[in-house]
Amino acid sequence: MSAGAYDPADACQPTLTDGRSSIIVDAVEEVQDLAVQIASDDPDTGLRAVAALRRLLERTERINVEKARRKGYSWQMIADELGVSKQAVHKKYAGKGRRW
Amino acid sequence: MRLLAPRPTAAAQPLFALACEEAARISFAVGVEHLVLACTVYGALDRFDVETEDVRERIVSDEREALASLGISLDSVRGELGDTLENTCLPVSPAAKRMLELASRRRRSVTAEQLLATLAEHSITAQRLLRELGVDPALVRR
Repeated sequence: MSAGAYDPADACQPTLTDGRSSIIVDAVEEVQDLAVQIASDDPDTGLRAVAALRRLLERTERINVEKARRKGYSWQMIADELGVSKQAVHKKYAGKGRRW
Repeated sequence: MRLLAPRPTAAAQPLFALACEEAARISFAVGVEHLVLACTVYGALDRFDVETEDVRERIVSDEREALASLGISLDSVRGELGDTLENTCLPVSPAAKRMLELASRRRRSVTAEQLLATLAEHSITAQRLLRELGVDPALVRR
């Protein structure tokens, strides 16, 4: 379209509507979509997300506990950092003859 | 008191070892999915025309989707953890242990077909994965 030419499609009401209002509405709708998704009645999505998170957590915990042990940390130090009891860490990672 | 059976993985040792190896490459823990994958590598899904690579891709994309629903990027997490992922031993999910025990019951050794049949019958996760791959779990049970 040539500059300066008047096209009714470009016109907007100077006071009530401006170019940005539609963008804001879109953004609000997106957030609402996300909220609907999170609060959806289907629990599978949420449960699978928790399961994936747990696998990630277990793995990163193990990696870091092993790293700490190699650096000579005591079980007590590791437990303190993880915010759990010494017994819990010891039972989970120091068991001899682990079956798995 | 329950007496401990010999290592429950003994009867399914090659399958379990393969599942661990696969999981180490594509996931954070050994789960039921990786047992399905190991069975596939041994040809248990050949008659359904499922390729090993399809199973791997499906496992990774499910994981990626699950973490993404919480706003976590699987790829950036893997990037952060980097090489440390390769040198540590993997946690095994309780569900996977249970399935291996179930399949090993009264058997000296477990074939890929037998393990897959157990998974298809008793594991919701395995059933979902099979369906996603276009396989009817009922047909796997035979």
